[in-house]
Amino acid sequence: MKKYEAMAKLDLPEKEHQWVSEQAEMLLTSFSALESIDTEGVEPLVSVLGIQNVFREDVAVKSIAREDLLANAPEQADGYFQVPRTLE
Amino acid sequence: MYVEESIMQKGLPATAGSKSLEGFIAPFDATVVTLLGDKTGRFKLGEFGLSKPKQLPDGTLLCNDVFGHIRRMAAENGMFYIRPTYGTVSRYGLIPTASSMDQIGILCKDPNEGFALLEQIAVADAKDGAMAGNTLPKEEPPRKRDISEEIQELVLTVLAYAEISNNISRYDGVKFGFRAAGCTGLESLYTKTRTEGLGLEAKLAAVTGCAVLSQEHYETIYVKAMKIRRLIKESVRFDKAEIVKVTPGSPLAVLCGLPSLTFSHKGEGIQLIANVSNEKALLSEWEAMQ
Repeated sequence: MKKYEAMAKLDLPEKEHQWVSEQAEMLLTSFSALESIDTEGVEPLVSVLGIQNVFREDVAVKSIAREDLLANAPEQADGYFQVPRTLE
Repeated sequence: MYVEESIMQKGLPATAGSKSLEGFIAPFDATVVTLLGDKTGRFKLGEFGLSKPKQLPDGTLLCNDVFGHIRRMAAENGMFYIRPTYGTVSRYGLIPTASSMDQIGILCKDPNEGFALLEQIAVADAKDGAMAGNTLPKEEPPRKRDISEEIQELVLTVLAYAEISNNISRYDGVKFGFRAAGCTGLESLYTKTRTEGLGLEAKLAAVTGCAVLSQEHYETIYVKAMKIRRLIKESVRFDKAEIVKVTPGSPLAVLCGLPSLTFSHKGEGIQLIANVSNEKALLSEWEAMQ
């Protein structure tokens, strides 16, 4: 389960890791019941909508102002999102 | 009237019940909020709808209900939950849970009022790609096989967790919401923020979602579940009143994008399901049962 935790960008403390691993293992085991259903020749259902592709005109619209979006950033500088130093 | 915390209202916090969205202030109104004007209050439910909320509001609530917590609680508390046909109410401004199943529904005390409200908010919106047209099946489906409710539950869990895992990957502490303190680099920023910001149920969904989408399980679990979802959709058989009756917790309507009405009848919880866009059959059947 550690590898899936890493994929989900999580580093769980021991107690949480134990609970999540146990639950996820149980779920994965229960999912094996799906094998009993014959799906020979059945296409996967990606969307319940009876549509394929919808085209629209390419129209320019006013978007949300830069300041309004940056207002939600945990840290910002000079009109950009700021993150910790990534290159030495 | 209330809207759940996952529905954005400009200038107000929208957390979807998660610490990940701590401090996030909605930069615009959700389409349903625009349609209703300033008449709404806000109500916090479980994180991303994954867990059961502590209580329901004392009034009408607009909320998404993928896992059936709200439907079950509605039936237990003498209330009604209307889940419209997938693609009926715009999800623009709704913080996503499981995109192929997300649909804003109505918790209410009086179904007549609930359906009247639905008419008010069921307005076409180009900002929600799922509103482009939900169509009735043109011909009789080729296969009709009963799929047990247990299997339906498993299919819902596989697909919803996969989609949630994807949808919550955005809570990485960069652009909005919670950011953990003391991060040393980008990788540490993502991991520390998500480990501290997501609740236990969301962590389980993220890990399980990554597992079913991984190379190891993709075909045998994820794609298999999508194939069975088609069989489930094709297995739906309506009675003379154009209705299927199931339990409040049944995932059938959610998986098939069908409208449903959940309530308590003679002390027992019931969920009525109708065909695509046939919401009026739900109200007629409820009336007939009185």
